[in-house]
Amino acid sequence: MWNYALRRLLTGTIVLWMVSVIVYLGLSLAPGDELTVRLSPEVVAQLTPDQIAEKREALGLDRPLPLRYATWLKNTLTGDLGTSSSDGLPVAEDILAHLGPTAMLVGAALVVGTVLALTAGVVAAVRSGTAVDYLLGSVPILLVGIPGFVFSLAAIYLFSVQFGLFPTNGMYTLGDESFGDLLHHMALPGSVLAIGVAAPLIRYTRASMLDVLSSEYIVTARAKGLRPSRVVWSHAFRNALLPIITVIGVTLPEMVAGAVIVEQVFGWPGMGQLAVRAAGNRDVALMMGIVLVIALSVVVANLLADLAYVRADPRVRLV
Amino acid sequence: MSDLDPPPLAVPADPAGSASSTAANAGRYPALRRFADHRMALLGVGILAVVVLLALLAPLVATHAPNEVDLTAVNHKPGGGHLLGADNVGRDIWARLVFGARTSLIVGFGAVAISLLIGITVGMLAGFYGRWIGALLMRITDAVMSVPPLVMVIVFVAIAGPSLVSVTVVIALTTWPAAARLVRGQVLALREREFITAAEVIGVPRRGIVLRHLLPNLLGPLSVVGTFGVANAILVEAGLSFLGLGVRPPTSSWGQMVNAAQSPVVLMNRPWIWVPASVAIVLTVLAVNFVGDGLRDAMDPKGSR
Amino acid sequence: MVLRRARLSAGLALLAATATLVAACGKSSTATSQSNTSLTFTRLGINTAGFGPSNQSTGNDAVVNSLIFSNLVKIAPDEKTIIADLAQTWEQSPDAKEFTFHLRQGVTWSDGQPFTAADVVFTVTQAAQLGSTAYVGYQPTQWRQVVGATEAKGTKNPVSGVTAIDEHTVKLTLAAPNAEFVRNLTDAVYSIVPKHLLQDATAENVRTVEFSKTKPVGTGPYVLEKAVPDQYLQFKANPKYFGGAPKIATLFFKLNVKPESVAAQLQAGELGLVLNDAATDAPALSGVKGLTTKFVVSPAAQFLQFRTDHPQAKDVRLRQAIYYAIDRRAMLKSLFGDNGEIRWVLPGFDQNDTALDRYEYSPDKAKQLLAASGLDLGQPFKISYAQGVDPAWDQMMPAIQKYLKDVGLNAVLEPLDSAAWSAANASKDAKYPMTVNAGGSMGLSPDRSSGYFNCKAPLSSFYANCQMDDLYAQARGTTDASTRADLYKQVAQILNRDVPMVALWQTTSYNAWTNKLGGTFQVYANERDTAFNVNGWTLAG
Repeated sequence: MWNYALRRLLTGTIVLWMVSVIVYLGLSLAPGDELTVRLSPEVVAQLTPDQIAEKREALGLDRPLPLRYATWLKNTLTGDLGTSSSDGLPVAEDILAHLGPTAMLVGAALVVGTVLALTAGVVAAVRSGTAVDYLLGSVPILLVGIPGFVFSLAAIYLFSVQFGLFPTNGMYTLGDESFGDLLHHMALPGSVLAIGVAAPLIRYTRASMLDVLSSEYIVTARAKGLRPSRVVWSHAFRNALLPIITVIGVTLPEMVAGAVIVEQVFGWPGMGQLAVRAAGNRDVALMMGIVLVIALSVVVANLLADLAYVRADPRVRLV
Repeated sequence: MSDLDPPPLAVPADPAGSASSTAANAGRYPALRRFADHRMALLGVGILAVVVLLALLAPLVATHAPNEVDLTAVNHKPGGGHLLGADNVGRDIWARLVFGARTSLIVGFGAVAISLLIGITVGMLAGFYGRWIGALLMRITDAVMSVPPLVMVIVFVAIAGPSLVSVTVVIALTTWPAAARLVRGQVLALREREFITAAEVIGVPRRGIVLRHLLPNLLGPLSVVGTFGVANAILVEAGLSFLGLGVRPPTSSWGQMVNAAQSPVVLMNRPWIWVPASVAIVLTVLAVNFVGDGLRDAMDPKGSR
Repeated sequence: MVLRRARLSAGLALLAATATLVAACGKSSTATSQSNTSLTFTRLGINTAGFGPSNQSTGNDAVVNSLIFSNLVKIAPDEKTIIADLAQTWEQSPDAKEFTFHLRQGVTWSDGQPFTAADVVFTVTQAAQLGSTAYVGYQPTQWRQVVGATEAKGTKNPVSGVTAIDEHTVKLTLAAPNAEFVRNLTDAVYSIVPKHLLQDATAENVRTVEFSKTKPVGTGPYVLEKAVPDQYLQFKANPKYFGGAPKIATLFFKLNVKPESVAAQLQAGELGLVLNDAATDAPALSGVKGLTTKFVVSPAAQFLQFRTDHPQAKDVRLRQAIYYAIDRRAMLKSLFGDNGEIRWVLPGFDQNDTALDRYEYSPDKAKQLLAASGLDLGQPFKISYAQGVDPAWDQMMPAIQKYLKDVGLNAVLEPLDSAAWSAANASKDAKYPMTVNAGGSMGLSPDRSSGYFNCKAPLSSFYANCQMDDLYAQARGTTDASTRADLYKQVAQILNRDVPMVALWQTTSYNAWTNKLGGTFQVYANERDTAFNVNGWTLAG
């Protein structure tokens, strides 16, 4: 197993390197650069091409691309992610500042969404074929079809503007950074994301539960006269959980993507907003940092999920 | 050669667990039959047919050109020459809706077609050429999978510029790993199957047999991956339009039309601008998902209701 | 089964209770933050990272700058009357070459150090020494008009044209006369900076030293307390401000506010003032209780900008044809509710001269000129524009495309993201014959548009006309009002005839604020100057 983990780490490193090449080339080849981005249209219109070339040279943007990548790689390997061109902060500092909010939002949504989905999925499976099952089955189908931003906008105008229950935007009331204030701000974006998590998961849970409930040992357990709730929760549910864990792991990158849009709509100061800003501003150093952090966490999460899988089910062999 | 007949499309049904044993026993095309029994899937096919038809006949059903600007009709309510009203530039909503269907369908089906093409090629190569090429290809697949698609798309659209082609290609470039893994897994599994080993013993080259059996075996799972991919691509296009990275204006797309709802005035006071496109997205995505469900249940009777 | 249902409903109840609790928590906390005077405001636009003159690239930067720093002079809300700032009085020689500023006494920097004439001399000298790379956006071109400035570039040498006569008097001598000199000094890029903190800065690091990044020190009404990237800047009142301590204790300037979220934030009370809001919000905000909204004619304009060096835009007849082809009045009326003023020369110029062509909508004239220009109508005529920069452009461009198609031009829209668009505009190779742009402050004076033209090093429209540049320079150099008017008349005629830009209309800025905001608060015509009298703003309980 250790051997396996080591091998996975090695290939993981190669994966990360490839990601870095793709994104670095990609972003650097895009028309426009960090210089043209930070000039307002009015300023651009008042600078001669020579003045702009002079500024570009001062920023080192005129150096050949492979050289720029090599410098970046060397610095990154020594632990220096560079400086963001759009806000002038060290990239590591910038990412750390935005990682927390995203982790909080995605984490809360993941927990709430999963709990919701598991409960609903199990209930739907146990009540298979009844009106409850039908309702729990069709609501998520409908939700899956609604684009996240439509949902978010509707939530803002209903709960924030019409009823005034929640703030429309941001993470804190300026000047008040209490925990209650944070929760208050997180309620709407968190719920939207949580529903995004729950909707597909309900169906997986239901299918997985149905699968297990129809298996022989559950039938046996029932036949032995065990309490139905005990059969469902401590026997069937446990076994149904395994594939569900995998599904959660696989959907993680998708969740991060969903967070990008939710963060945009709710002005949540997280990685999604940072990524959109970095791409728009041709902030190569920042974008590289973001992509590496996300890719790293996905690689590690997948590895952990696989290892956990082995521990949970000894029959699984790692190759 | 009866022993080389294609195996069942998916794991054989466990009679005890099958909820639709009548369908499983039915005739030569059990999967097709089960699909036909799936009411929601049929509904999905129906809705999709209407959308496709409207898209194909867009120039006939639309009373205006999608980019025709009528400055006297800016923000007009439905009626009075504009069936569904006009947008903030004075363009006909109904025309933009039906022409937008073309955009959504091209992005949806185009992205999936390209994605499947890449995925199948990579998967087969990785499956057949196990050692170096296979390992390399699978690492590339991992690399693509480890970055959230939307982040990747943001980067690539920044490079290529937003356009119908770049959005379609970019979605394909970020979604092919699913198909690649599926195909590779199937190739590897087939190689170990007894009937293939048996065939090899009697002198038929292994690669040839695997190829012959690969397609029928993959049809089911790939069609499921494909349909959900279409739904996903339509939603991604809408999301990209929201971030200002979608299909290049003035080409109409549903995502862009819904995007107008970001303005509170449009959201609250001019629902005719964004509601039709929202309904169109939801209906189309649902329809595609129903079809996907139907296909999955038909291919795998064990998982059906 | 009963048991499970009970558990489920208990869970739901818990969930509901938590939600209510959370909502209640938030409510109470917003209530307490209203008890001290604090104003949260923003201006729609982009903020550059960093502070001070070297980090000035946008209107938002100018607003932030005016909170922290002071200039020698500033402008009254009418945008015409020059009023005292760090300089209490000033004199100018009849030939508009010598300027003497008498500085206020007893002014201190926010770190406690005294402000003296040496700081002014230092500001001018450093601007000349460091050259253009030290400034991210706007260039302090006026400081570089001082005698000896050109020679000092790239050196550590003093600039002979700027001298401290005594502790509180500074004299500036210009190489060429400039009657607009004092007026233009109100721009943010001419803020006075402290010598004791910046004297060791170089062209490479001046934008990134601690002073410019996180700890700006000025003589302005507010002091930066906290900067949270992407979210907000927090300022506290400077009790020792020479113009009188500000009445509002804390200011929050929200960063990166999405135009779409402004209306909701104003309605929810999360923003107390928004400058330069999107005019499309007007219908949503006009009837809202507790809010005041106002359209203000701004010095900015919407204009089509040609690349006159592009083969398709070279011919003046084509450029005139495009002017005639577009019904500006219809566009302004139906798209923007007539909020703006139709122009036929750039703002700032008197356009009532009868010698000027008004380019009233005439498809026939457009078609004739188009035919005469000999342009290959089969070729696509690509019009670039930036998405997500000015919301008006997304609305204007399809209409403009329609008008051009109506006269037979094969107009194709090329929407770009702002980075790609800026790159295309600044590139030496003309990729697109035409784009749409909006100018910031041209309406303040005819001279403001001179920065768009340079016949020796063409830029922007790449229109090169040394005769016109000369007229601008002559006008700048004369103090006689009627001579200047006559010179500007000639410039206007050239611009009107040669059409390097199609001036569409002068814009209005849309602004909204809470009724609680009072005192000296008033939206300036050039709304980025609005915080010039911020120390007199009040906020009712």
